Amino acid sequence: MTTATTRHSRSRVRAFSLLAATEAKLAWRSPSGLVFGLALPALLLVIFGTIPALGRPKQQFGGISFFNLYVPTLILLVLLVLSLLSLPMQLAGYREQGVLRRMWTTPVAPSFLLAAQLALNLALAAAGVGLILGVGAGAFGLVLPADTGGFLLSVILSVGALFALGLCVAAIAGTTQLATGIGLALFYPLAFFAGVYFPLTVIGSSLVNQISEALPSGAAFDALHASFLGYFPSGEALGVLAGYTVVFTAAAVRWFRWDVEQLRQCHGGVAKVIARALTAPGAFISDALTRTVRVPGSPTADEITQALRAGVPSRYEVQPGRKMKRSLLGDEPAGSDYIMVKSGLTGFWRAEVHIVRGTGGTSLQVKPGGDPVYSRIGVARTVGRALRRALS
Amino acid sequence: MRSAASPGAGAPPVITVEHLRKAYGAALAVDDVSFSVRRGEIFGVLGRNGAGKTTTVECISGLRVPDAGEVRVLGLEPRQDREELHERLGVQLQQGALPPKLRVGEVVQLYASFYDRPADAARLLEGLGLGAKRGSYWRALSGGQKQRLSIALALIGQPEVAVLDELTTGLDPEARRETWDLIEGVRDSGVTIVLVTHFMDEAERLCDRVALIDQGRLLALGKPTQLAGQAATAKRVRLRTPGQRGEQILRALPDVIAVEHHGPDVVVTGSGNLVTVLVLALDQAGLVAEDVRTETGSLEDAFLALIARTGDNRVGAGADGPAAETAGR
Repeated sequence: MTTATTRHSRSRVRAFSLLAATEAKLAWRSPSGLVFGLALPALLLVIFGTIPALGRPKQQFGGISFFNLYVPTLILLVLLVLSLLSLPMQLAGYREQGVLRRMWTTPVAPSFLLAAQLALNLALAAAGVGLILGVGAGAFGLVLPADTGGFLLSVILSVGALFALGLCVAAIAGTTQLATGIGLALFYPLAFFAGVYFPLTVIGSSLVNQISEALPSGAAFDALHASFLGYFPSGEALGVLAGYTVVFTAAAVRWFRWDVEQLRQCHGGVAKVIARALTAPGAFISDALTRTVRVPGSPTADEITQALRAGVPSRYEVQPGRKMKRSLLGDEPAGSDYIMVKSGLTGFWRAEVHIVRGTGGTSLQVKPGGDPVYSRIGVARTVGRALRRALS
Repeated sequence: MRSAASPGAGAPPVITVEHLRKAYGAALAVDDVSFSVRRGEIFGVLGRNGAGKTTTVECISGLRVPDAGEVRVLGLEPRQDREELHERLGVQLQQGALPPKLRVGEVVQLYASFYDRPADAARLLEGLGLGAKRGSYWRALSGGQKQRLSIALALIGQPEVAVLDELTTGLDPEARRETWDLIEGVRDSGVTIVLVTHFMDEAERLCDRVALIDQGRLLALGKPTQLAGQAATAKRVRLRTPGQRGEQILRALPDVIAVEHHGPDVVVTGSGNLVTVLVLALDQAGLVAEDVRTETGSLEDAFLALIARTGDNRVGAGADGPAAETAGR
């Protein structure tokens, strides 16, 4: 028994190291992760480091230079690219192509491949952070954090939070495309709160700061920034990061499936709903705020139009046979089972009535549009009320 | 079914499947399937697309958990003894891609590292005709070469049993024949093979025994020749088109299972004394049956006949039932 176990463990170590080496080789052959994860942040560092004006301390940045303020952001850019783009795309791709399924049929579990891919991205992250610190300190006079422990803790927890989020994306996204969509939809706002586009301090809004502190990239920035300033990072920031790490790791472990089919059976709709909420929030909210008015019999579109014209204020424009989706040529024409109601000077707030005829009666789906939330308490609500009063 | 003198008939079976059941939501994919595979044979799991073949072998390979029933492979329980089983069972999956920029030699070496006693990678690739392709990227391989690499990965652990799923789908005729020779070679080296296919000719050519599966149920089990022989009751008769009216008469006959068009001819599948029945029926309607030829029973006929028969039993319908419809395709 013991000899069998040691033999197994020895061969498993060999299998893992070969897998990791293979993953590294593949990353070198398709180097998008290397380029965007390592080369791009390093290039930004060099650009910002060579502009003399950015190296001067500024009052608005709390007495430090823009360059110094931007170093934690660059570290986070490395982590964000690797965790939210590189890792989920690779893993979702492996599942989609059946690589994980094939591994399941060998004595080595597919978790080995997942671990190898994770190890590779963690190694790249370490290399990226090392590169930024090395080049920054060596060439551009970056002052390294005095409290190494606090800095390392911040980096480790930032890695934990962001990679847990990335693994969660890989867990629920059945295709590379979906993984990319969700990954990018998370990347852009999180990059914003890491200060990639501009330092958040220039906004100076307490609401933005509160949102930032609750998000993994904002909390990570705070922790890293504090350690560069020579303080030990705040307990709140570290707590937020640890919380994200624990919650999203647990979710990823709970949701991960090796096989696309099994993923679909377990929670096929979840990823699509999340992807839609992240990539098309307007349409998602509008769908979620759609209400149905059930009416007996089957009133014609003309009758419904008339009921609407009579029931809504005269400043509302009722347009039968139109959908509220705008196109370049104006409002989109639709079948006779659609009626659009517009309000406001430019017709920005709108509602759409979709007539769905069934056996037991007719459903009128009232969808708010323009600004769906405002429309829901304005024009869409008035439309729903008018329909109910006249037809129910 | 009848027992037959096949290889390993006396030895204990390497795979036993008993009353296997697997549902996806409301859809029953596999419904009470039982069979056993003997050591050293090529066992075919045969059926149309979506019949439940892949689900069956996925349960055998431990990729899926059965809802009910029992599966034993080499005396092991596929889910519990996953590691041990996969040392001894090689699986070639349907549509299993690999990273595009992985080289043939690298992937074989990598998969060899997963096993305790791997085969010699160079010899294996040589034997599968991939010796010259060791340095090629996976994406640069042709369809046939990808399939052969897939077989190589199923055999790299020197398995006692190999499951090969839809091996020749998408291959050109020459590549298919080459793959067939290859599989026979593997069997001759002592590996028991479970071959999943929807090609009747493939099963007829390669398999020692086949299990016919349709709509998740086991229709028949036995030697291909035996099953084809049983289907002698199900015959095919080819005749010159007797016109619209003649066809309607043929379709309405109780013995007729299906009528299909083949150029200017129609091919009638059915049971009983088919030729006499057809000619008489047409004659009574004042029509002449021209150019009547009977065709010998093949595994495909047996399959169609069996599907039609069970379809009749299940839906209780005649020629308009779904089974007859598919059989007539």
